[in-house]
Amino acid sequence: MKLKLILLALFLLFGAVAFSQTFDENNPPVLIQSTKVINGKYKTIYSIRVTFTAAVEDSNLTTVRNPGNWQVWGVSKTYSIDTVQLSFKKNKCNLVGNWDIYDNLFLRFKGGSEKVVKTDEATGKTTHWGFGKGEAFDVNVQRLASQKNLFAFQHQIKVKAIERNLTLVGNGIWLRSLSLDVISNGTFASDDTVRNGTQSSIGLALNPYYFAAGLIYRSEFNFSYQVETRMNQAEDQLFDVIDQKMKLGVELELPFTNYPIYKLHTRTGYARLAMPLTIDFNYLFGGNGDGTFGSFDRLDFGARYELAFSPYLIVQGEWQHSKFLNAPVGFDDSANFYSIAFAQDLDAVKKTLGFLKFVLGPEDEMRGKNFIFFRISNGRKAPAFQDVDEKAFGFGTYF
Amino acid sequence: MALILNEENLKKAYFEVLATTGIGAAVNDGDLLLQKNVLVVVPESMHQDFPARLLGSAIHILAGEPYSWTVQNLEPTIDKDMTFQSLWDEWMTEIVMA
Repeated sequence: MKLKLILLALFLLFGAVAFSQTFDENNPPVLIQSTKVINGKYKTIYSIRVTFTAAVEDSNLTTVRNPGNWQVWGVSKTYSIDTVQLSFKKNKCNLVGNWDIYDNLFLRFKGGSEKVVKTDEATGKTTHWGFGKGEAFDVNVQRLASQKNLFAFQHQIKVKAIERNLTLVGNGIWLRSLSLDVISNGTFASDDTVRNGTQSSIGLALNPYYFAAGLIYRSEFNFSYQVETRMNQAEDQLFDVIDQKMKLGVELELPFTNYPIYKLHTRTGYARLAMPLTIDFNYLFGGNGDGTFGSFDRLDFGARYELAFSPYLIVQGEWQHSKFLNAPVGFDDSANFYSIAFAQDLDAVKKTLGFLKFVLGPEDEMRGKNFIFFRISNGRKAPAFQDVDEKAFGFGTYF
Repeated sequence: MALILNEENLKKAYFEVLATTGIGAAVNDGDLLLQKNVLVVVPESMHQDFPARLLGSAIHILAGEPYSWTVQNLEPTIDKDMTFQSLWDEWMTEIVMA
């Protein structure tokens, strides 16, 4: 049995996950969360911000401030509004409550307008929020960024529980092994506004290798059962199962794409595998039919590339596209994500930071195993499909 | 017709095998390559399939022309102490039959 474990710690910069603040009159962003210091500790406050097109007149203040004149409900339950906070200029108010932020929320104002507005937090979109001119007021809602120090732990674990070496060579293809793999990839975060979630699977994997232009390239075909989870902070759940599907996957290293770095290494003597551009296709078969992510067929297409110029500069890039194939009209059925990371092998800085040898072991043991990195990532991807824009620095180690 | 299995030919094949895995430093001059500290550590912790690539490359290179040797299906053990010299001593010279 072979075990592969990669662990990364990410510390998100600027104290926040910066949500998209782009405002579209016809498709404005939704609610959501801010923080408040209570007894010296941060507490997450969930609120809906309502922006009035003009200041609320004094004669209407009592009506607007009354939580009983507002109603928020989800797919299966009604939520209570704790307080209504009004801004100094009286043109904004926050409706504060304790609702499931992943629920599809509906809002009704009963103090002069009965218009129902739906927010679809799960897909990051909302229907039009205008109450309409000529009525009591127009409103829009806005997503608020949290102001906290955030961190996350990312892991990649792969266990080859059973492996059968096939060793079939022919026509430039080496059919290496058939194995039963248990895999878990994902991120545990300190807050659900941070990209988080896990993908765990068990399944069969076939590993052919192939030769092109004098180098060997790896490929993989797998068929597995996959469970996806995300953090549900509203219900205090770290592993909220959001998807369970059968998955068919292919992973390919593209020939020639590592050749420039390979030639660079031959000149510099940097003994590192020059990784080619790797692409993967995963088809996930639709599940339970409850209208959530898990109920639709999904196609994930991704690409990863690493340019290891030297131990001082390793650049890694990732791009991911997801498409829900049989989603109904109105469902946000595609997502894009990219990240770029700049990493250094800690072995490269050991002369400056000699104490690292005491922390991470002798020099030879450090090399190629411990990294520091700065990573920029943006967009939405499985499993949680949060729309986040993150800048993080972190430490990575491999066992 | 198989090439004669001697140290010169095997070492030549060894560097071809290493180069085929994409480890750039392996195509340097042979003598330099076998000096300790130049060779150390392939980042196996990051690329766990390096032993598989080595064996696949060895089969591909050694079993093909011009060598035409028989290769035993044994993956090398990669650990923190591995050098290209130890890889030669403990693996390369053990897997080839002619």
